[in-house]
Formats: sequence, C-alpha cells, structure tokens
Amino acid sequence: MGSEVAFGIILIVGLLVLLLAGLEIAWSVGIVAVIGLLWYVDQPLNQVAYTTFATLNSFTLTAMPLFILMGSILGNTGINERLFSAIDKWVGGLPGGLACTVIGGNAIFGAMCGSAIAACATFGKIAFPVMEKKKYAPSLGLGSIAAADILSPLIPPSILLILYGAWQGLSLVDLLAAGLIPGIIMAVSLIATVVIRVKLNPGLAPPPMKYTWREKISAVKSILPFVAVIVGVLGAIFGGYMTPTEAAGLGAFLSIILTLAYRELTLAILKASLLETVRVTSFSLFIMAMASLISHVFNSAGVIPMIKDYVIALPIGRYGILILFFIMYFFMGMLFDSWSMLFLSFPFVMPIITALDFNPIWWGVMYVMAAEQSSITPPFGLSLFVLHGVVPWHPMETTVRGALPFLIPIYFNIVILILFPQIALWLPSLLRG
Amino acid sequence: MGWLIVVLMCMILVEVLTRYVLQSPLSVADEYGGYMLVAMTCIGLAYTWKERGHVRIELLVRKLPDKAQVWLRLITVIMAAVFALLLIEASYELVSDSYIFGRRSGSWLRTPLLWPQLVLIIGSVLLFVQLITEVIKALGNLKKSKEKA
Repeated sequence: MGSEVAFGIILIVGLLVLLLAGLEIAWSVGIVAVIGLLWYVDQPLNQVAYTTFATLNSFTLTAMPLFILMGSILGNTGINERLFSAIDKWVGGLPGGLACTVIGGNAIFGAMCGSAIAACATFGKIAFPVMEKKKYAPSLGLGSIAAADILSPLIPPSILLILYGAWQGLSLVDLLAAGLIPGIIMAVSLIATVVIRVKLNPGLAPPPMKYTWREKISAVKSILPFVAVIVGVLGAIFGGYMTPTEAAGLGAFLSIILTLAYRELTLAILKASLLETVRVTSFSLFIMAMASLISHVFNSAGVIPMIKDYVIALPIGRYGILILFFIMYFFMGMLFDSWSMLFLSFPFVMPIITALDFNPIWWGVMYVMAAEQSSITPPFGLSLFVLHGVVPWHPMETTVRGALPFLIPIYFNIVILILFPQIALWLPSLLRG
Repeated sequence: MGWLIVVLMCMILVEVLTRYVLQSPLSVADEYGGYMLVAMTCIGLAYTWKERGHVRIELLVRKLPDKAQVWLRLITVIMAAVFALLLIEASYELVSDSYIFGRRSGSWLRTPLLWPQLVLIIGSVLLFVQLITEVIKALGNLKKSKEKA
C-alpha cells in the first residue's frame, strides 16, 4: 500500500516541476509516464508507441481536424469581419452596442470554429480597435471579449467537447447537443449583463447605432450562405443523417467551395489553414496520447484507484467534491488552457465522476464552464493574458476589472446547470427519441 | 503534409456518397481516417515544434534572470530530445512486433498494422532531428548570453 503513495507523490511532484520549468506539456507528461512505466509498472517501452497509436487511431476523433480546418478557412478568409458587421446590425442597437455584438459574434463564430483562444485573439484584433475609436470604455470592451470566450466551447461544434468525447468514448452527438442550450442561455445572459452595466453607467459606451430594417435584411443576406453551412452541418449531425466526422468533412468541403465562390480563398490561405490545422491537431493530440499513457501507468500502479477511493471517502458529499474540482480548476486555469487542463486532469477526475454517478455528458458541459470561468477569474487567468498580448497598451487590470462583472452570469449559469441538469440533457434525450 | 487533411476530407465525402447513393458503404474511411489522424499527428510533431506550436508554461520561467532562463531552456530541450529518442526506440519495437507477429486490422481490409504504424517511426525520427537543432540553438543562446556578460 505504502509504496503506491510514494510512487504517486514522486511522479506527480516530478510532473509539476517539469511543467513549471517550461518543458512542453506533452513532453512533461510523457517523460513522467515513461519513468513510471519502466521503473514501477515494469512494462516494455513499446507500450508508449502502442498507446499513442491506439489513442489516435480513431475515426471519431478525425472530426476534430476537419472542424478546425473549417473554422480556419472561414476565419482566414475574412468571414469574421463580415459576420461581425452583420451581427452588429441586429444586436448593435442594444445599449452597449459593440460589446453585445462581440458576444453575439462569438456565439456564431463558435458554431464555425469552436476554439476559445482563436476566438479571443480574433475579436481582440477586429472588434477592439473599432470600440476604441468609438470611445467605448476599454474595461467594457476587453471584459466582454474575454468573457465571450466561454461561448465557442459550448456552442456546437465544440472542439473541446469533441476531444473529451472521443477520448473518453462518449457519444459526440449527445455531447454536442448538450452544449447548445446552455450556450444560448449563456450568450443571452452575457448580453443582458452588458445591457445592465451600460444602463447603470451610461459612460461606459456611446449611444448605440440605429440601423434600418433594410440594412438588417441585407446584413442577413450577406452572411446567409455561411449560416446555411453551419445549420446544414449541425442539422446533419442532430438529425442523425451523418456522424459528426462525416458532417465535419462536409463542413470543411462546403467552406472551401463557398469561399472559392466568393473569390476569397487563395492557395496561400488554403495552405496556411491546412498548416494551422496540423499544428493544432498535433500539439493537442500528442498531449492526449501522453495523457492516455500516464493514465495507463497510474492505473496499473494502483495510484488512480487509490486517489479515487480517497476523494470519494471525503465527508463532503457529491456536490462538495464538485466544488473541490472547481477550486482545482480555478488554480489550474491560472497557467493552463482548457484543452491542456482537460488532458492533465481527466485521468484522475473521470473515475471519480463516474463513481459518484454524475452524468458524463452533463459533466462535459460543466467542465467547459469550470475551465472557462477559471481563465477569466482574477488574479490570473489565461484568457486575460492572451488578450493582454493582443492589446498590450492597456494595463492588465483594465481587462480584469472589465471581466469581473461577467462572472456573475457565468456563475449563475453554473448554478442553474447544477440545479436543472435537464438544460444540458434534454436535447440529447430528445434526439435519441 | 497538410494536404493529408484534404485527402481525408475527400475520402469521407466519397464514403458518405457511396452510402447514400449506392446504398453500400465502402467502410474504408472508417479505418483509413484513423490511420491518417495518427500520421498527421506524428509527422506534424516536428513541424509543430518548429512553429512553437507545442504549449508550455512560460509564465513562471520568464520571471527568472536571463542567464537562468537560457540554462533551463537548454536542459528542458535536451530532455525533450532524449524523450524523442525513446519514442523512436518504442515505435521501432512496436513496428517490429507487428511485423514478426503479422498483426492485421480487424476489418475486412485486414491491413497489416505494420504500415500505419510506420508513421510513428518517421514522425519520431523527424522530431528527434528537429530537437537536435533546438539543442544546438539553445547552446548558441548560452554562448551569446555568456559573451554579453
């Protein structure tokens, strides 16, 4: 018994040291896993290659690069700008105008690309300069951009949920469907927050622009084909006509055709999008493979069952343990992005979630909330840093101060999701019939 | 190498088409899609490293004095290279096992697993070469920082 404890502690401390020393995450995990494999579990080295092959050889997981390709083609051809101005015609009339547009834009952009960091950087680049020119308070602008990050991993197709589902062997259709309604509620409550803030303090934003119906309708027309692609892809998945991977292939294909038809796709953009896809796929799936390896090692050595028994025996109840996880992610979110956090923590967290009889589909949506709230929660948060990198001329505190009020709707959403799990689980159960 | 995704996409479209139009799926994409994902990830490792695409925590390291940073980076890059060497060894063992035992996939294609697993070796060798150049670069930085001091 005692030797597992020592083994577990030594390896986990070793992992932390490597991570904090700035070694790439996948390598930190891999090196620790190999040490455990050879030293304690005493299995041959080829287990490393075997696990890598077995983890990545998954048709379900292929949906991920295809959705990323779709998102980066649409993003690189300047469709975001078009989208942004079209959405502005509709929600820009609300108090806090452009800040509402950023949130609406993120919701739709999330349906195209599904990656939070990409969305954050994009909106930081296209939306914020306009807001500054129009004399929006920087805290409102930056805060809304940082907070809107939570939308793309919720609204389908969410790459984060695809990674989770394919890795843990869950139904991607269920997971993607589970994110839709919480995503919409989240978008509405974030917009409501902007409106309330501006009502309380009109100095935060200039009076909103008024658009005519003619402008609104022509705005819809300009983005209609792109919206049609999104609706088609999601419809094919939720209607049961295609698997998520097939729909992702179709989505990538249609976005190539569409951007070609608009004469916006060049060979250079296509190449850049393909390489971007390779980079994102390679970095994240290698961490996933190494995380599978460390999970195998820690399971074989009995460390994971031991941690599981220990945590479950804590006298704080199911929801107490859930709160414990939120606290853990709060600290991890200071350093890690939501993808890396998933890979690093789930080998330990998943057995506990299963043992406590939480629905894994519901937990996926909860994890998105837990991970994303941590990335904008002061004092440190990864989204805050990313955004600070895009607009370095504003002090970090401005972003932090601006993001803080948005934590209220986010926590509100977390609480209602705990009280009413059906918000996430109703749509998947409907689709199953 | 990114074109592999285009091939993958076309293959999936053909698969969908045959399923709906000919009513008889080829069931090739299911299997080869997975192999392509392995290939893309493994062969992409070296390129992704070159483009600084692998995520690491720099927040704390940046707070260290310059000299310590340079040393630390040298050490971590050497560790990464050693790990790449282990990956080569591990994939070689896996592939030779698959060869000796004549392992095949479970589908009707009965693909010898040796072939899709070969990309693990290719990927890790490329990665090792990339990491050696990174070690040399890190040594160069060390020299530079010494000259400055």
